Amino acid sequence: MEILYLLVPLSVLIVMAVIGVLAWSIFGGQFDDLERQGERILQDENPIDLDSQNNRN
Amino acid sequence: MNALEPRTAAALALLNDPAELAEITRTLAPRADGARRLEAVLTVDGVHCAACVVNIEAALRDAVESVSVNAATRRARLVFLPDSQPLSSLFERIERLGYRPRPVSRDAIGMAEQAGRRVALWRMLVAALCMMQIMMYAVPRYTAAALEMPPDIVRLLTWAEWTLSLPVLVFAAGPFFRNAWKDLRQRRIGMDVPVALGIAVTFLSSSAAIARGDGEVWFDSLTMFIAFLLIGRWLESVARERALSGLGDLTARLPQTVERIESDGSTTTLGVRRLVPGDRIRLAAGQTVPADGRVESGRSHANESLLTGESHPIAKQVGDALASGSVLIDAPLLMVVERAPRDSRMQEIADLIASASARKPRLAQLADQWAGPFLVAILLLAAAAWLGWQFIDPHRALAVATAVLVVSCPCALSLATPTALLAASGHLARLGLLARSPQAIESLAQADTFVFDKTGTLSFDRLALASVQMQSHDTPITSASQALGLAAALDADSLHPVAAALRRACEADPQASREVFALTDLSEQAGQGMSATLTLAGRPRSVRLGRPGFSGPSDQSDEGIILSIDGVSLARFMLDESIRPDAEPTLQALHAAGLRLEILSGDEHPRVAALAARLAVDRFQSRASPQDKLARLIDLQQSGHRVAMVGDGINDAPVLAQAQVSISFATAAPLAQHQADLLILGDRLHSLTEARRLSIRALQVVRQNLFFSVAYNLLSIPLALAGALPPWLAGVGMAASSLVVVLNAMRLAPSSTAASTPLAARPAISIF
Repeated sequence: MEILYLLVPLSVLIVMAVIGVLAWSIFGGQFDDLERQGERILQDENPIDLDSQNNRN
Repeated sequence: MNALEPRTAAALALLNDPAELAEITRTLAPRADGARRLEAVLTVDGVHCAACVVNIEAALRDAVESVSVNAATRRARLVFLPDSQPLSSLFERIERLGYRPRPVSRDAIGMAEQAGRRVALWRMLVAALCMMQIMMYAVPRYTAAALEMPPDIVRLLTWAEWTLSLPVLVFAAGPFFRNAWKDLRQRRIGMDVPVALGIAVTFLSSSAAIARGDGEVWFDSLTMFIAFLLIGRWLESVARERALSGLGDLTARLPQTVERIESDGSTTTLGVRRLVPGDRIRLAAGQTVPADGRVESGRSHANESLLTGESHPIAKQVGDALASGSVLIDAPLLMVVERAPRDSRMQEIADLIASASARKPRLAQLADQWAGPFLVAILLLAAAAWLGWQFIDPHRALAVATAVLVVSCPCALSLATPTALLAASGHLARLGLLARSPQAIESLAQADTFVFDKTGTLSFDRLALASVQMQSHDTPITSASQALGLAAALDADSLHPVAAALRRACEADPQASREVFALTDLSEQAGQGMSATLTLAGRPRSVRLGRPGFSGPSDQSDEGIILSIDGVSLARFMLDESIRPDAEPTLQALHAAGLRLEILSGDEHPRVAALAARLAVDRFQSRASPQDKLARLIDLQQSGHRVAMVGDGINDAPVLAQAQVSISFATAAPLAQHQADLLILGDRLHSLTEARRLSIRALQVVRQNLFFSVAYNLLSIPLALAGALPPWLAGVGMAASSLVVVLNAMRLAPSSTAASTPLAARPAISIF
């Protein structure tokens, strides 16, 4: 049972950390447009990057 | 890639005009180097997938400070520097990719605000997360005796619960306190007052219990309560936002341009907003009149149906007044502007709308009606409990009074209405109706009077052939169908609305003669009719089609359109406006439901009377100006009627704003749409009766839900009064009662077997 004295406060800290990550992800705009990110894997590379690669070759 | 149309190019150039920019952009704080920064939101037509988004963003990225395109809403948000990259060049870049951008008006930018959505999501998730973790501590605490848990561990668990309820109070519960404070300052009691009181009392008493080291703690109930409420509100806001996002797009458009004729005869293209009295402008057929003025030269017909309800096109000659908002039908005109657009009749109507919506009588929301008495009853009970326990056991008096306040926290009560209305508005969307606010459903169910506009709502503003009367038979043309064929051939190239009606009738008539008439010397006398030479059996004969005085002897009645050969009238075509096909069954159904029906129209008396007779509506008013309509509606409201208004025109917008619930069409004038609580998407008037049935069911479910939640409180409060309600039972009861309420509301959601419209493809509610 003694381990609970460590684990319970630890769990509180972990939840606090999760809340912090949640704030970062929501206010960083990660939940703004969920459909688009799912489709991104189907797209070509960014056209601008392609151009710069062509210029190098 | 593809060259821009000249008209579009002119409209694009207008985007840089400071007057236009002020309408469609928001000014942000300038950059560090002093450059001006503006923010604009565009609706981009043609965006349908994520690839489009990448294309547009790539095309703009080097020219703007920031750009983000949302594929789901088809909106692009730009922050740009107008001095280095004018807005028109950004539009041009998008157009060259093949998309059609339209600026969203400045007022609508706020609606697309991401920040509000993010905060709502954040609140809901913080509350839900903390609630789950607090349950993790609460369950072993409740079973502590059985687990032989040392009291130190129990204390530790309560402290952990207290710590995690802090973020819920700090981050999530803010809106409840703010709204409650707002209600109190306005000296009224809404649902948020008992909610805020419950939260505050629960937290303070539980914290005091921890500090003292004995007494009940209620952190599990507290966080569950907040989380459930926020989930409910989040779902509501998602549904509302979905409904609104479609509406903002309808009004987004490029600035309107007109051609002004200068004194030296040259023309300049300029924005409508820049017109001043005295300007001479050229209007093309099909163009909307941009400002009030007079015809200087030319003859045409103007459709004023959206503006006045007048269903027939009105002939406009030199000197006639033109009202802004009417549409030229057949011929170009030269007009002189008499009033600047912002002083025009449209603006008068906009002012009427503003005053009407400010004094619109709101139907009290059921939940709010209950909130006041509920709060008073709870406070009285808690006080009585405290007093009573003073005699039984003074040490427990405060604990019991607190328990009463905690279990009576109206969790289920405040979920009761929103969940039911949300489910109902999802169902409505499948029926082809968009509820702009969930409360519209409640108001629709309570309406006892339905007032209809005529033109555009019950009838269409185009003409239809009602009957053909043959008047002479001594010509080779003997049948009505043949006459119709000849009339349609004569009218083949005319833009006149009558001509269009005759052509439609001819196409619809299977017997209409398909023979080719040998017509020569075809000419149109504006405002009179058509004349031509018809070669029949080798003999040229003069045929005329038009008003009685023009094509035949005018001694007979002045009605209809006459077809004559060599001056002998051959057939008379009677024209009528076409009635919306489902108007009759809809009005019958509403009449059968015992509702009072009324027609308010700006059209001429005979036409309104004829329509009212056909639809069996005995109350009607014709030639009503927007002011008259408004006065009639206020009359009805003052005599105690709850009025639903159905209309589509600009002239209906003030009444739509004043009515308790207003219904319009997705094809209606944008001004009318903006005032409507419900929008009919599929152009089916009949969905109104289905919507009414559903809204009545929704109101029943709301009542049942209110009953359920009150019943839960009635059961738990006596237990709390007796001091016999353990916190775990309060938590279970709260969750169960909320669940019952939500499940009951789900009965309003459309069943999967229900007839599905194309809209069904899109889920009405999705969490994200």
